[in-house]
Amino acid sequence: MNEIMTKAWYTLISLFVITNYGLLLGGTMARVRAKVQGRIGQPVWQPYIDILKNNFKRTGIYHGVMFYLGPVFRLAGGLGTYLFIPAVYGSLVFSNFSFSGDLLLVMYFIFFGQLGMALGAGQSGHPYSPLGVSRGLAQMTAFEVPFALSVIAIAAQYQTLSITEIVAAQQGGILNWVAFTNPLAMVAGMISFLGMSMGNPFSVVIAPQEIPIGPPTEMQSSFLGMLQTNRAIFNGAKLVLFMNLYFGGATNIWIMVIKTFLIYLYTVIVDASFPRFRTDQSIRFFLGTPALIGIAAVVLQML
Amino acid sequence: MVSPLYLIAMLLGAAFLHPLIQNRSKLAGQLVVLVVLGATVAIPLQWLMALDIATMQTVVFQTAGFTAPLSINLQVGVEESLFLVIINGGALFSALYFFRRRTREWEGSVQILLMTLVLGVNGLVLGRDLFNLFVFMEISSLSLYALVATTKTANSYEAGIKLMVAGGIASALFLIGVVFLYRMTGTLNLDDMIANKQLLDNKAGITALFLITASLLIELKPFPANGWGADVYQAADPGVSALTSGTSATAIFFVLYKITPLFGFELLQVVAASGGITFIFSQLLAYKQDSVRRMLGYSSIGQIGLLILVVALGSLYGEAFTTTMFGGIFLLVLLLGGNHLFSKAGLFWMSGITGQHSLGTMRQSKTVRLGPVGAALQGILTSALAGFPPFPAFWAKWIVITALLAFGSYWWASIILIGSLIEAAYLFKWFLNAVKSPVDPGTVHDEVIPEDFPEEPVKEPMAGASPAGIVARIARQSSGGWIAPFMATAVLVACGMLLATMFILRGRISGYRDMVLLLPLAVLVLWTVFDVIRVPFKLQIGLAIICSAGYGLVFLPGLDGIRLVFGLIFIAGSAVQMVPLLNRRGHHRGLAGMLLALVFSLGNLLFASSALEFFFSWELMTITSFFLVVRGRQASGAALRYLVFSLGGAFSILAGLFFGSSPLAALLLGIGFLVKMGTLGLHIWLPGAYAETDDDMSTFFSSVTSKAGLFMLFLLAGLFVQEAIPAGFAAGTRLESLLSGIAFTDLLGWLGVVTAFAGAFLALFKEDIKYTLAYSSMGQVGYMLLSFALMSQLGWMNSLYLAVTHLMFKGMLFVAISGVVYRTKTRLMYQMGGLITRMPITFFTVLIGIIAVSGVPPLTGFGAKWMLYTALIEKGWYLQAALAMFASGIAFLYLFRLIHVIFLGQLKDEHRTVTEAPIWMLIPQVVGIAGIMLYSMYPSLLLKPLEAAVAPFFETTISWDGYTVLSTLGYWNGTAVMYVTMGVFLVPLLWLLIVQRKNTQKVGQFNIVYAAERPYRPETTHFGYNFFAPYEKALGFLHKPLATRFWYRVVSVAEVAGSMVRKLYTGNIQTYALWIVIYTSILLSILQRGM
Amino acid sequence: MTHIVLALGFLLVCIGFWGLMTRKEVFRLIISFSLLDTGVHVIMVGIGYVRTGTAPIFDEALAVAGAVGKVVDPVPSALVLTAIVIGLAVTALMLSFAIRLHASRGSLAVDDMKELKW
Repeated sequence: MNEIMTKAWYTLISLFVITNYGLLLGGTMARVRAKVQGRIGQPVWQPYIDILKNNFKRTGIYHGVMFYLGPVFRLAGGLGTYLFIPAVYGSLVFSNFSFSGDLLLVMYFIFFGQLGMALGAGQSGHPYSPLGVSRGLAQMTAFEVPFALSVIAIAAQYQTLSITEIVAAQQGGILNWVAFTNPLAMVAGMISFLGMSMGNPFSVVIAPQEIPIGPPTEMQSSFLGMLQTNRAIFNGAKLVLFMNLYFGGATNIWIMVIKTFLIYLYTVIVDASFPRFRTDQSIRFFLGTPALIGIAAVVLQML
Repeated sequence: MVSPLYLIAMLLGAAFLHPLIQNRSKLAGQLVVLVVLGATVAIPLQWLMALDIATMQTVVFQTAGFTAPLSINLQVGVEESLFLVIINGGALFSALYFFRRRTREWEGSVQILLMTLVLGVNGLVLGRDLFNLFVFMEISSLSLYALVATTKTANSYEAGIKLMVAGGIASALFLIGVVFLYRMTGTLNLDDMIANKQLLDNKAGITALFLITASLLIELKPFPANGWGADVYQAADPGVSALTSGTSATAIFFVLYKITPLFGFELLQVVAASGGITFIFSQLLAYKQDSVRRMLGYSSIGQIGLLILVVALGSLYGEAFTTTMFGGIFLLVLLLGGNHLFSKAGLFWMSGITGQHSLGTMRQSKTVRLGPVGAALQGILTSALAGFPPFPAFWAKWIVITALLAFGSYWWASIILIGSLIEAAYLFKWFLNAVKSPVDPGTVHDEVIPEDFPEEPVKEPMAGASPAGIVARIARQSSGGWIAPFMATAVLVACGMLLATMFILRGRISGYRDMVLLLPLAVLVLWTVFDVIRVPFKLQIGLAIICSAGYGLVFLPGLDGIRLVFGLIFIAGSAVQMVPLLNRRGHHRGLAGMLLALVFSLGNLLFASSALEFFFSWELMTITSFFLVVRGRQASGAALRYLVFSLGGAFSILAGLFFGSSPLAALLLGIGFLVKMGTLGLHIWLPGAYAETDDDMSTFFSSVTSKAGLFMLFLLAGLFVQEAIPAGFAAGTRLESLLSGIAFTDLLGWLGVVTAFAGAFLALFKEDIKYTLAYSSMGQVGYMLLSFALMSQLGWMNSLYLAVTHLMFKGMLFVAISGVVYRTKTRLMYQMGGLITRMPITFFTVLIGIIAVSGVPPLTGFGAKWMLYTALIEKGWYLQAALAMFASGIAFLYLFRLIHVIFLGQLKDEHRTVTEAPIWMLIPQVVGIAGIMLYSMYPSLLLKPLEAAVAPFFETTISWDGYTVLSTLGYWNGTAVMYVTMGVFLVPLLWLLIVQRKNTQKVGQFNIVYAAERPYRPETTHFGYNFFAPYEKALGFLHKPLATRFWYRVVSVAEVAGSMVRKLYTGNIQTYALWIVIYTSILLSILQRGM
Repeated sequence: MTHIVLALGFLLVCIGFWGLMTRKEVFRLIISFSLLDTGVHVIMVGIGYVRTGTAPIFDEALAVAGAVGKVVDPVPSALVLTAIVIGLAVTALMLSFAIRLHASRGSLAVDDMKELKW
């Protein structure tokens, strides 16, 4: 019993940290983006304001049970993804529930939230929601290819699928990072990370500047608030995952903050610098050079 | 014993007296014919009882008080008696056919001709004197010439003259041959001649024998000297054609069989070649025919060619045949001949009864649709002719192929198999054309868009269920001549059952377990009886469910390991999936019986202890499942493809069974199993067969029968570990180092993963829900194959795990979808939408199903993904792993589309009153959900038994730590994942419920933020058609139907060959005569060169 | 003598066959067919003949003992008789068919008999 209570506390702490970090990171990056575009931008704490505002809206509407559950699925997906990743190497507090499964579990649990959300949005009956989902899923299958190749290359390199062991293998100096021991895998993985973050040039799936499409189209009030919370956590989870895979993980929380910030900054820089692909173009893009790089990484492991 | 002279005297006397009796009373005249013909069957039966069958005893009857050389002698033996029973039986049924069918033409003269024909034929079988054989041959031929002209059309006279000219040339050859033989041996008696065989062992003797042989061959219509034969079949009344093909040809064939002991090696080879060439070319020609009768005619010619081939090969490779079976070559000839006689005659009668002349292309639906009885008869006759179990030809086929392959005669074996495949293709094409629904264009192999299919016309109500009604119905149907094909069918079925009992039991009945292989046959018989006495369909299905459960309870406990896993899939899985059928109303003749027989034959694969038993069950499975596919409304095209591919696969297996454990065996067997699984390249039958089957039946094909191939792969796994390229291939070249070390499993692995990819990718672009699921099944089977090919503990566990869970989730999905289709009356997804509110339980099932298929944790699908990738990476198959991941991503796409477009989005106006699926369809869904939830919560419940099942084969690579399964690479704790997921799901849910406890309201369908416009039509607002357009644009080039094109090419090669060859048959009598001469000369010159 | 008979028989067969191949009218075909048949019968007689033999009738000139060596073998002659009878029947049937064919189609030209083909 005591053990379970301790684990619960640790989980809460871990979640608290990642949520706040994710929200602040989001606010910061929004500002960075604004600076690039020559604006002042929102305050760093704007995400908190948005979430609170949405949760305390006096009215809300829903379209049915699945619609109601959609954001729940989404947030559960975000939370679960994070909880299956050991966030800080060697830390008991941040080891989360990584004993439940290895890298494959994390990769597949990402779908959990996406599927639930897509279903919830689907019940709204708004045609733009499935339109966005269709584009998003299509693009996802494409960027999963270089990512999968990259993960396989790493798994083959270290003969393990356990994230903890992958991080452990990268300890002892910057040159032990996958980024340096297996640069092709890193390149393939980081390109697919761009697709995963849905920034430019892969942003057509949410088309943020025009009419909103995709799952959030019909979401409002606390539903939207929940999605915003998830965005913070899920972003954090993905960043932590990529940090663990390619950049040696983190032995304490500060290193994690620095590394994930830089990874995120990389996507924002790309986002700010490029125009947008059509969906079919991004599919072809991911199945082209990045996939070839991934294959090269895998073939190198086979030789 | 009754003297055979009475037989001849009786026929002759009746023929002479007939006009007198006929003048008094027509009925009496007809009765005399029936009685006399009945006696011609009874007398040989009496001989059979008197003779010692075990020693093949023969008794010679002398005439006129002299012994053999000086008088005519008739020999009565087991062989003669058996042949007479079937030949005269065929003639008796023919009389019944004429009697019921053609009362006007059934005049005295025809009856007399029938009796003289039978007389000649009996003489041919019994006679031992060459010249007497000539006389009897002429008697029967003359009768036949006259019979051909009974339709009294110009065409029939034309055919008659052609026949007579050909027959005349044959007689001339025969006569010259006889005189030469007499000159050389000084006797006309066959037995004396055989005793003095050495006298003929010179050039002149062989030539003389050749003349006789050529004459007999010409009478039997060899290729290419057989145009007149086809013309006769086309022009004559089907009843006469039945006599020509059955009675007369079989008797002449028997003469050939009788004189084979005289043949030397060279002559036998020439005869075999002629028979084989005739067989294969006739099948090609028949395939191209539009006229049903001409098609059947070519088929007869081909079958007789096969008989000739078998007899010649049997004498050439005597020992190979005689050692395999009691009776040796004779039994083979009897089985093939009898099977052909009854089935072909039955089909000729059927064509006469339905009056169907033109086959039409499959596209036209100008056919008369057969009723249930007609369909059953034609189905059985066609199956018998095509050599499906349990009919005699099946056993004969088995013996022939066994013997030929044992002797290393691969070419003849492949010619027989290819010819049989073509024959099955056109025969079943005709069958499908006769039974298909009028709305079926016959070419449906893929989804049909955008029109939905029209409603089927209302069936006329059947006669009442009272005994009087049944009697009236049978009487009405028998008045059209149905009695004859019915009798033929009955004989075939009875012989088939008898043979099955003989071959399968082989005299050992140590317990009820030995009977298990015969259960499917018993089921077919019993459920046919149920149909006849009109047991309600629901009761039939209920009994079928109980019987499957009983089968499972009685037989499965005897199994263990992998067999038990598949046993549960085959039996328990099927039993549960039969429940939705209880929802059906009205009568569905044959459905329940066929289904149960299918289930039992699948189950019997587990119990087969010899190659024959396995092949028997495999073919039984093929034919029963074919008859289930046929029932679909638009399924005829797909059913034909299914049949041809399945049969081709079965033949490949049949051949493969005899190559021991060589790479060739692995290749042939592998192809057969892969056809059943529908792997890429061999899959083109799959989508149509799965999708066009009745909605509540598709689930069997997808979730149960597709695993038969997988089971056999597991069973014969040892074969596939070997290197695919035999040692010594391209020795010394660079190719050798490149190709060596490639095992079959490597190829299977790639094939599996490519199939998984292709299945998912093709499913992506389907608008028709059943095609989506069909391709999805194909993809899932690809994963199973990939896992199997890994040949590691985890790989095999995963393959079995997938097989079990796929049964659950794909069964659930198919049943749920059949409920949706049942309610919405459409299969096109974009025509549905928003059904979640109308069918919530079905939605939930589909939700669970797609989560399980896609491999999203925490449900069972993830376990499969985890094991698959872990095993792949352990094995070092990295690229396969990446492709598998891509495939699973694409699977996610079509699955989302499936659930979204059907259940979410906008509810259509016409579906506002749709209700939840019927209870019978919900039951299996609930069972499936329960199973999936259980195994998701506690994966160890499934994993540990599977681990035990594969334990004997591989060293252990996984270990357990509580609920956590540890591989060499990673770990997975399904239970913990489930708890965490539940936790992270419930917390936000509670939060949402608290935050929104008061102020949230549900809004209507069109209350959405929609660009300053309020939508009002669901059709324009529902996003469902061409859902993944960007994908199509990006990767559409990948789904060109290359496999389909390839197979079309193969078929067109056969068709072109058929078209070219049939140009030989100009219809000109002189060309025909010339062909006879050319044929004879070519054969003679080959023979001369051989000497 | 037998050689001449045999040669005659073969000649008849050849004439018959030539007629069968070249004539374009059903009646002529039938006549050719009869010729062919007759040729076959002549050949049969020729083969069965023994040069110095006598008729196989038992009388004063032919004792039962040792008869086999002296007589012409009667069997081929018997065969020919039977064959002639059968040939007659076939010819008769052919002629009747030809008449019927003419009645129903109005033509006996071989080239008109092409409805049944392929």
